Amino acid sequence: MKKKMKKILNSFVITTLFLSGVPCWGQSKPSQKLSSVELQWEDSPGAFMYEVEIYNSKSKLLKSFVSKSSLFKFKSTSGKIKIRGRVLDAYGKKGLWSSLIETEVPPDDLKFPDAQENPPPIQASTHSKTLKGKVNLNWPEGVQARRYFVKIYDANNSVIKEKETRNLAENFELDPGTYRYSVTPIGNDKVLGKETFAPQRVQIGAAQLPLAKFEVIQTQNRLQIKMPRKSDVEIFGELEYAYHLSETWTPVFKYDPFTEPFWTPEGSLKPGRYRVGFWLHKAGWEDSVKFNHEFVIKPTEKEIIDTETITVEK
Amino acid sequence: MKKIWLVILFTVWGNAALSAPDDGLLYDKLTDPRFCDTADEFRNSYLFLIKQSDLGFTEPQAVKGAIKIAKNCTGAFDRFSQVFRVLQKSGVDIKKTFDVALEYSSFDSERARNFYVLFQRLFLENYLDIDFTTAYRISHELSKDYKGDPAKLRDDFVKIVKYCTDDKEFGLGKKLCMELALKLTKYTELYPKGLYQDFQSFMTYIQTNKRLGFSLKEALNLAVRVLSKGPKAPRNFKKTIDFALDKGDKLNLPELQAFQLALIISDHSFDPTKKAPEPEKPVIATVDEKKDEKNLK
Repeated sequence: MKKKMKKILNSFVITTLFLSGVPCWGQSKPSQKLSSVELQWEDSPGAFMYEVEIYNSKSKLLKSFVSKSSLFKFKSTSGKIKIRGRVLDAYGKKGLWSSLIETEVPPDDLKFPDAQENPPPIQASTHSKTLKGKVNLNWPEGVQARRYFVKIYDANNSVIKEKETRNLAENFELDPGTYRYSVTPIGNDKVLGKETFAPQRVQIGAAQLPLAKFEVIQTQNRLQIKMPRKSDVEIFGELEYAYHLSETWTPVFKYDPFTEPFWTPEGSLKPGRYRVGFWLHKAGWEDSVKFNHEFVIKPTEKEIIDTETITVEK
Repeated sequence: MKKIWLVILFTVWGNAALSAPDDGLLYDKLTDPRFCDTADEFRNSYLFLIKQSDLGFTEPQAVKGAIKIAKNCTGAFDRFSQVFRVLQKSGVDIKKTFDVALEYSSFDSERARNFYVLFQRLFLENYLDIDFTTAYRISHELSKDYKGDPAKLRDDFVKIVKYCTDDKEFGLGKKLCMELALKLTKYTELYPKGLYQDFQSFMTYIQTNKRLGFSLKEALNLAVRVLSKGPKAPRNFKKTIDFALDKGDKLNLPELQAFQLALIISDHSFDPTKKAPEPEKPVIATVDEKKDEKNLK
């Protein structure tokens, strides 16, 4: 990752190049490594050497050096710095100091570990009471980063949460959905680094409604299913049919929602296998698992005998 | 010219008089099972299959299906349609229904009838009301897989179930009655006319014999054990009981000992080491043959 800054200093151009440090996961101790800086002075005719002084934001001299080349490389802490320079000719005669130019050395870019093409998401389920899912998000240590600014983006790319922290991990409570998160390192003097997105997505699954009790009441000639009494949930259901000796179920009725206190099979169902299923539904929740009950509708003897009389003439 | 027309007319009339309008009047009624009325079987099968909309047969498919049925000789369509209807009406997968019915069309008519009757007795709510899978399995066991006389077995099964579930008789639960019928019909083949009559009279004997004092469950278990030893076992049991309890003949055993003795004696009523006699020629066939002979005369 390279970042160039150009500043005109009298007739000189200073270019700073910040080189990334080696990321180090799981450490909360601030990095002692320095950001790499490159300075490019515009060549000046007659210039034999260059002398440079670098100060911090409190005007304390941080570094002073002399170079034969107009391109200098040095290490620096992050933050706001002031730079001045002058040329020396072949006889050692010094030119005038330039005025102090203020610039910023940001902390190095964060480097998440090399990700696979589709890394598995960070997953969590919502709690049945809070309806939020708790996730712990972390990131690698940034060179010259003193703090980190974490942003969480929703599926529409809108920031829905942000937090500044000294740590390399933070807990977040999120609604059900899919998210991405980014981390921006903050250096000295609150100089911001580059925002870097974590390769992994965050997935918060909705909390599943617990299945309430559906009571099956089977009398000699009648099947009833008593619905659970829950005022804040809706009951959805479906009735399916399958032939005997077949496992292909086809829908017969949908109940969306079912509002009666009892369910009984509809009259005039044709003989065969039936499966009635009910589940609970509530906005913001994942539907409960399905309660299923299978039953069989049998023909009467008369129905079979009636069909027996439908014979083809001989 | 008129003469020529007359000659032609007489010739035509003469030919018509020679051809038989009904083959049956001229030829022997064929009872040989090798000769099949395949045209009727094919026609009826085709007309039936093409009407089954849920089967979804095209005309060539119906022809192909009808040929398969007709191939199974005289009565194939009746056998096919019985099994097809009972399964179709019960909600069985239509392709499976066709396959099973086709299979039954190749068996003798009594086997198809067994499936048709016994499946209803087992499955329908007003009879034994058991689950489909069990009813289907047992129906096959008692029809296509049955080694003995299917008609005799069917008769026994139906009568035992009726007797057992009848409130005036035992009024037992449906499951118990099914188990009883299955247990007893295992021995149907030992009885030339089926075992139902022997079962009924033996039950009456045990229940009316106050000295034995069996509960219904005990009486049924005893009946199964005794009847399993063949048609002579019930008589041997009764005779031994009468003999053992008879005060005049000195044996004069207490009831329990008399019962145990009668069991031992009746258990010996069947000797499995001996070979069964060859089955007799069916009486009905003989009568038919005699009728045919009269017709010819």
